[in-house]
Amino acid sequence: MHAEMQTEYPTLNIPILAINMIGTEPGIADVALISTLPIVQDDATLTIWDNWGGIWRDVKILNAQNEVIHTFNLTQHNLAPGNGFCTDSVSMTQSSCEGLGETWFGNYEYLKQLFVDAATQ
Amino acid sequence: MIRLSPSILFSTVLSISALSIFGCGEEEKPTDSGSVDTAITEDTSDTTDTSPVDTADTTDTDTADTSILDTADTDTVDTADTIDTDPVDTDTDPIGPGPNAVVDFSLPDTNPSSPTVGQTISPRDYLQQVSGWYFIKAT
Repeated sequence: MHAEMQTEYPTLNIPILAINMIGTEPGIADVALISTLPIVQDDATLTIWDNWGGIWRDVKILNAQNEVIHTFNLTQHNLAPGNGFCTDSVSMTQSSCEGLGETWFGNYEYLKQLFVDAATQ
Repeated sequence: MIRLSPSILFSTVLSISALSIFGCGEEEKPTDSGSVDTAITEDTSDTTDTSPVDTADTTDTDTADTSILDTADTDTVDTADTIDTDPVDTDTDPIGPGPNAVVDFSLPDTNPSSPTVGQTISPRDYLQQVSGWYFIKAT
């Protein structure tokens, strides 16, 4: 998604960074095999997760004043193709959602649009 | 008494008339030329005398005007410009963290695959722009 935004919206320059949970430092080598995102390591002194109110797989979007404006959890909203949510909060598939006249949002597209909208306000 | 005959008297009068017509004309030309030449030279001197007075006046005026105006103008304008520029720069200073800004930190990038590995990262580096922060368990 980060690469896509850089290509599609080069002037927005939206960085995405990761904050790794305390105690999981050894796994960074494995993450490095699949990701080039910058990663900072939380520790018992800083306790960034606690201070920011973050939980595993949260994506927090900060505005230009470092304030949280959106939190989008990827456990609740899996970014794999076909996953999304309906405006009726009940329908679990795009076809059923749209069959009821509701609007379907794909998780991936929705999160991407949150970034773009925040950067263009 | 000497008696002159009419013929002698006529020739004498004729000679005197001839002398007064030709002889006097030749003597006056050099005298007139000399006087005129001298007069022209003296007139030139008069002009020269006048010039130094004019030159002096002009020189004095230029020097005085240039010194005062340039110095005064430069000092005043430069000082005013500098003072005016500073407040503008202050007004365009970057916006700081908001009242609900997240707690700051400063940590190195630990991902060996990241182009910024080893460099210090702080959320304050991303003031003035939107940024995304992903909470991960690197397992």
